[in-house]
Amino acid sequence: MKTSFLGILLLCSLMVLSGDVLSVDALNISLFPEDISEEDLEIYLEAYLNNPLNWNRCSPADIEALPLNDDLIEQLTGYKYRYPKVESWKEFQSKTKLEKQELNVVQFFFILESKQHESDIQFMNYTSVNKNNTVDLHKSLTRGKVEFGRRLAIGFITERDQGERTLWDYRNLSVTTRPFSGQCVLGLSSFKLDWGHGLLFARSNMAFKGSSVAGNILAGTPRFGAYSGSDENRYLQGAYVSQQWKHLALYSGVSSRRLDATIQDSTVQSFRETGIHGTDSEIAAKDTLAENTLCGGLVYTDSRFLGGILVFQSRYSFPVRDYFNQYRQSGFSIYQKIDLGDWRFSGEVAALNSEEYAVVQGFVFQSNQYTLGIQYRYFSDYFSTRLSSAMKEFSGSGGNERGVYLGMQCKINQRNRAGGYLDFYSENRSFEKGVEPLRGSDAVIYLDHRWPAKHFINFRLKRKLSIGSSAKYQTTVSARYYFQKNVSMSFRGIVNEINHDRGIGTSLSLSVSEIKTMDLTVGTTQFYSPVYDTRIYLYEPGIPLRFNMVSLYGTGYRYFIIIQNRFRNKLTAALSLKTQARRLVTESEFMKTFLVEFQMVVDL
Amino acid sequence: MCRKLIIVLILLPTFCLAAFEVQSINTSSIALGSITSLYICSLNPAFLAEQKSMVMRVDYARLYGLTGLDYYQAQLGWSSIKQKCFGLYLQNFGNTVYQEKTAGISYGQSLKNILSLGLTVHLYNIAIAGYQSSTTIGLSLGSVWNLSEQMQIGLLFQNINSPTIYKCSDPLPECFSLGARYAPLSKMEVCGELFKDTEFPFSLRVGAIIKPFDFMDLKFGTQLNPDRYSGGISIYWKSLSVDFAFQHHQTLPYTLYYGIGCGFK
Repeated sequence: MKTSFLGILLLCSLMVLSGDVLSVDALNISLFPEDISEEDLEIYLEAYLNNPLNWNRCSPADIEALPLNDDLIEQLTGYKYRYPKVESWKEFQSKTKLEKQELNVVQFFFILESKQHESDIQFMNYTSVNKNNTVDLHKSLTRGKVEFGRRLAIGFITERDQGERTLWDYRNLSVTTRPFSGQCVLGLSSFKLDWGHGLLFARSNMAFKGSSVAGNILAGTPRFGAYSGSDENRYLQGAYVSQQWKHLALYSGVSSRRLDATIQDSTVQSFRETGIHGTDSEIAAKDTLAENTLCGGLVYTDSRFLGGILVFQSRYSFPVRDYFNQYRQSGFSIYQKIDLGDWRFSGEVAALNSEEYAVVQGFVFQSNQYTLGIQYRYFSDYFSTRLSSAMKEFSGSGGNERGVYLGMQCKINQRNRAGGYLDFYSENRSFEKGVEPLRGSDAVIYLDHRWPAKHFINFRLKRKLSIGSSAKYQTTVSARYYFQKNVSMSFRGIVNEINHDRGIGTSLSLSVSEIKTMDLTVGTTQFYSPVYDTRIYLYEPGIPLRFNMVSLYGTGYRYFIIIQNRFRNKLTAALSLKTQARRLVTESEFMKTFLVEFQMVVDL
Repeated sequence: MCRKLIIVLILLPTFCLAAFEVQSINTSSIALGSITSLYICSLNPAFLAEQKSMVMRVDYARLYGLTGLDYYQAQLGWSSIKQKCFGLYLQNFGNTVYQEKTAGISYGQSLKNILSLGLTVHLYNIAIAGYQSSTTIGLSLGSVWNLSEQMQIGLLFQNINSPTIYKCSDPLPECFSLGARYAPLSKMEVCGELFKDTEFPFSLRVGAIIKPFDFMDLKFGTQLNPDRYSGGISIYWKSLSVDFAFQHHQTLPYTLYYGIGCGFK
């Protein structure tokens, strides 16, 4: 009774500040690992939301690194060569002839720096209510950005997770200003540093093995970025300055902040990174560790070569076990990117405390039809920094990994694409006596077919083999069929198999867009996974940028409805209602849960 | 009076109020199920920017009809043509043994008639006979999202700075409210609110206004956690409004609320 009542009452899951849906179809889902959590995916996308690329300044390589589907990436890189400078979105659309939905996606990832830049105000509120045992407020998140012309931008975020005792348990502010000229950027409060391959610092907090060869192997452009994301730990807080000259750029930052950590015997046993402060132990660990960081770097850029060097030092109020019980961690990084037409070489070398080091080096060959790439990586046994996020298999603390990634993408013809990657990885050594170091390989192949009428079908097969255990196979199929321009049906199916146990999940949804100002999606997911190892991770449609991708284990079904409406051309409200019934295969009773999400976005 | 107070304390196992737990006695809000994030003179300071002139109102209630549990509230709001607004309010609750006093100053601004934002700074003071009094400051932030002429969404965060009173021993309520108002007909409005005090279970509140005549509004409301219903009537004459509301309690007698306002219609 209460469930239906709530559903009716709540008139209306992540967001887009341009106001329209950034749907899961615009993204290259095969880029992401199959077990990426919903929260991690959102955090990854938030990095783009907070710091969109400037179309007039970004390089084609920056575009290739975006988590967009291959078609869109190819179109955008083509446009970048043809229209490197664009003054307005109207001009952009008239030149590119992109459809409205595609343009919305582009507007999410890019900004245009026109001569006339007016003030801009954007606010977003997200609220969700769920029921597991009791009905409760699940999450409340408010985010905003106010731009005063080109000189000043202020961003903020406030968040409360379920069970937290403080209303704004997490709050953050970022200020970006260009006090002197467009080439000098000064930032205050919270910020992130995007550097090289992420051996020391990475903006997006995530690096994963995906099917985008160039995206995996080539480093992005280094930069500081304003931070108003929902990851409560992995950012810096203080001030930074970046200055760009003709070929040289300077990056310098200072940070002083407190971190969540478990401290025992006056030593930091571990950093706490969940950002949740509900239980007494979580509250006790909140802000217990002081961290002061100083970093500075120089980058040289010309048409074919980019090279940079960065040094940093962090000091902690307690010795950190992962850093050899030291109060201090310091290091440097050197990275390079060389562009020789079809061939591009990219890599980074970093050292910590003169003892630990890591190396990433690779190259990409790119022709009109093929993209091939190889990357080698090595992390010494204890190479670890709090803000690093390089592409690795073993993501726990410490380095202790070496591996080779080989990727290929092929454009067979206008409608068909194929590709895949092979990744061989191994621990350098085992820390347990008599136990072999972990070794294994991932192999992925995929095939995409598109029809002229925008229908598409994608197949993806992944084999994960760890030495000493059985191979795990995962087959994914996704397809969409358009009945009319604004009416479509989407299918997504996954089969996981290990040791002859098989888990299956399918999701079917119907979307109708532009019913006056409203978009509607309804659908269902059915799943069966007899054991935990065959659990299913399946993307479902959701509120813009908030994807529901729960771990589906046992047997059961889900139903969902998402309604989005645009009001007064500036305000977008979206409501999603999701229900689930699930039981373990050994149980007889279903456990029913629901989630109601409501989001409002205003762009003034 | 003391005997009655003791009876109240015994009968309140499921509804025991902490300091400043009753934050508003606005008669209209109470009648609509204690909705806090919607309507002018509610707790949401952003709604001040939604009105076009000066507003004043006074409310009074005696909780459960018990002498000594008297509540007074006076509010003043003023809006400029530049869509900026200011507000003041004073509250007093209690008796010579236990007394809560609150004063607040609000500022709000409307942005392009689509979004209004508001901030209230509250000054909380508590005085208990035989003890030193204690004072603290709380901040509340509110917003109003005008989806259309018929529909508004209100969002309110109360005491975002986590204030405490009596040397950090008693945290004041931190509350989140998300409300929606919809007027499908000119003579009818419905509204609902999700209310969450971080220390208590989530509460759902719904209400309705029926306008049988131009000079009269009938109001009804209900809420879950604690489960209560309420109702009220507002009479308008020129710029004056007179309000009455009642609120049910599962164990204790009804509470009656009285209000008078100026500059509403």
